[in-house]
Amino acid sequence: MAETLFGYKGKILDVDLTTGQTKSLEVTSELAKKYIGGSGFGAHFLWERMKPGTDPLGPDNLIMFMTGPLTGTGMSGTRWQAIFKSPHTGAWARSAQGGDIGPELKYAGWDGIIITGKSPKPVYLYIKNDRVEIRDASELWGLDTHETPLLLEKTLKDPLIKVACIGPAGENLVKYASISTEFYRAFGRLGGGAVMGSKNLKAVVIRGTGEVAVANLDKFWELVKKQREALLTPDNYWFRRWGTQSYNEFLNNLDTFGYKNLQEAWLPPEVFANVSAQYLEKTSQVGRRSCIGCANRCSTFGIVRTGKYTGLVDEIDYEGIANVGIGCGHTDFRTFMPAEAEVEKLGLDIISSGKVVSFAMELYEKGILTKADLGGIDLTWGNTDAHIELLRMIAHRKGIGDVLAEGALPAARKIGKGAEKYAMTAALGNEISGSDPRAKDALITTAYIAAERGSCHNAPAGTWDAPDPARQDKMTLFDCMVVCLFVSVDGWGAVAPLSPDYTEMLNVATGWNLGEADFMKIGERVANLARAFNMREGLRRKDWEQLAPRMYEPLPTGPYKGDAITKEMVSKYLDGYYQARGWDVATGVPTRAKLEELDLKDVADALKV
Amino acid sequence: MSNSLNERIVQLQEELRQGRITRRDFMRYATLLGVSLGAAEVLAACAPTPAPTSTPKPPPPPTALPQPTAPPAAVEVSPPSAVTISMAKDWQLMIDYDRCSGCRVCELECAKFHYGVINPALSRVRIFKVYPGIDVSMFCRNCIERPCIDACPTTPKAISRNEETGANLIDPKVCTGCKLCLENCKAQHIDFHPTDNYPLLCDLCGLNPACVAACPEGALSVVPPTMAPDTWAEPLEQVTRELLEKRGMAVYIKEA
Repeated sequence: MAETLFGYKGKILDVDLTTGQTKSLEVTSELAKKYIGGSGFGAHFLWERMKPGTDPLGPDNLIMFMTGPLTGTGMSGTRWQAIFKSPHTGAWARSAQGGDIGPELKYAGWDGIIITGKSPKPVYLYIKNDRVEIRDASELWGLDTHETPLLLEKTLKDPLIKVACIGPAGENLVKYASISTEFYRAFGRLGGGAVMGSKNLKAVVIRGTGEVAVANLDKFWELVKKQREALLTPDNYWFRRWGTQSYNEFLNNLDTFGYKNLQEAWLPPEVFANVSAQYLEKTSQVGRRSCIGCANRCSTFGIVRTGKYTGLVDEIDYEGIANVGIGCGHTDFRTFMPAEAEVEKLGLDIISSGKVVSFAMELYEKGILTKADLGGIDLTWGNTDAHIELLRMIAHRKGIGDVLAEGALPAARKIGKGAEKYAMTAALGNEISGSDPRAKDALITTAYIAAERGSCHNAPAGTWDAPDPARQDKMTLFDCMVVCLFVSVDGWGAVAPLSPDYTEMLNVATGWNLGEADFMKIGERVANLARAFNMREGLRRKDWEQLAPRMYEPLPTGPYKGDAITKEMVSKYLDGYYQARGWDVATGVPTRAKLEELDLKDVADALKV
Repeated sequence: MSNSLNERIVQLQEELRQGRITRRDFMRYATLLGVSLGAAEVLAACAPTPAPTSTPKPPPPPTALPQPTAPPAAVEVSPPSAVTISMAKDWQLMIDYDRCSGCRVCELECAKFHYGVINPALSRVRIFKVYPGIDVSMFCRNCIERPCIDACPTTPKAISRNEETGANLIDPKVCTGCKLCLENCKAQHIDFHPTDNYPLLCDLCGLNPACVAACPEGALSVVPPTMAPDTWAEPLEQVTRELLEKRGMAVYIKEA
């Protein structure tokens, strides 16, 4: 008998939607030790199974859902990852999702799901422990991401099922469609929803009643309790109380709170007051929610109490308020919550759709798009009704929505008239997030250029002056285990001094004995494998070396007024970063020496480096 | 003090007779007023002649009292196990829905405590994440009256009262998995062991539950019976409805 893999369930579900066949793949100890799980498993299978040049919306793309050895173990902040080739960028894509569904997959007895092929008609995947069925979803097709799980709960007569589904945006192959769970959580970025839509896969439904075994339960539980206690200490008070919205104020003070399509990045105090976490808490908060096992409970729900949208509830987080909210000119929670709820229902990425709508709003302001172009809607900043109408046009690809559904940059190229300078995109043409990177102390620093998946809101590799791949690798490790970036006591900003607790937790859960260096090497390996995938697709350094033209203009207001990024900064940074990575500085292709050092000799052979 | 208490009890008795409150409500108010459960049973059972009280009467006037539509309370009161409540036991697990964040630490701790594994499906507490902002925790309330025990058809009964704590005690070996307990449960909710198919009823962990100790929100507690009358065992749909109403969310949430 094979060695027991503690922390793992030992098998991955392999589904071919074209033939309707499902089978079980063994997770070997070798695979587990090489890549840990999550993103690492995803990178491995994407590299192994996909031919270069595969159409991301064709049947041969893979959509994978992967957990890690810590997922579902009861520690705080365990999640799952989606890995696929992005229809938005044509590159490697990973996205993370919280909630209860990732752990549920482990309880059902699976470490991950690999889905390939294309079903001839709409279907959903139903997993109840060992029972796996591909079921007809014709009744679900067309429903939004709120209606879909409710109908499934009713049809399956089980309110405890966990559902990840797509909305109309995914069905209509909007390039930045998301995969949604619990109404408001999503694999948001890079169009996983469109990949599911292209496969006629409406939803993945999971119910599991098994256990997750760890190597040393008593010791592990002590660590779980210790971690929970750490999250309850005063150091973490602000995050527990206001969730990611704590960043609103912090980032506004740093002049990085992108307002109106990043025309400015700072709100004066009297304007800021109405989008502060405290204001929301005082006026409209109705509840909080955690992912399973987590003491952070960072989800915050607000309610609209007056006007046309009375009774509407929405989850509010930093990226939501930054992209859908102030990015589109909303300066009050109550005008932006209905728009964000619509983003969730339609199944769009909150970041990309925010930046696409703010792009259209700016074009409307500048007269490049007229009311007639927009099908008669008055797309002024912060106009809730117009915002919602445009989102629906995008999700259903109606009128101008069909153009905007391709993303800000392709849309700008199609619209012409100088629209391109208003598209807020960066590496691989992906939309940037809510944070403006121009201020010299900006927390986001180099993430828009350095992240492997293209412009990304959480994977900076050091600062402009000091490239530091290790910092990115640490985040990659969290994506392999799969653990939330917010559960380290100091939250997102402090992943740098990686708490040794996580190496310890992994070791106690799996029974391994990894040192810090072994651990970091795995992070680096996964980063390089994802890189190799992108290189095999023909992408090169120039595809990352791009930033919205506005980022080269000085910040117009705020405490960091005048700060800007220069092309030299970007180019010098990439030189340093690629050098530190052991990659070819001119092209970004990993060197054979680096790949062999990371036990990726076969990858080096395939890349012919 | 005793006079005013008595007055309120008399009022409640009258409301009960007029059918304006249910017997359950009467029991709940009476126990909240500090009357022991046994005494409350007796008070509910005795049918005093309607007497004017110090408070104004709602219409119709006492002279035109309608005939009670409900059967006389005396008929109803026949709990074979005329329960005596002990303050040393018979406590109940209680949840503050407003504090609960749905983190399911209770589920994880419960399963770990009882079975020594990581598996929330074995928990005796179950969180339903009904809608964003509505997380409802369901568990056996160890009600004062226990229709689940009454309904249990086996001999000896698979569900019994723990002598020490008054909490439900389940014997998996005797249980046949007939689910009559679920059919008769006041909350219409009992989870069953996923493989062995016996009810997962809260046993209060000897009055020091693992879930209470671990809850990061302090939403769970164990309280004496007078504070948590059996009427608090409510079906999921009812709790959800009440919470939606309370938080003003009813307009937004529509079923597909």
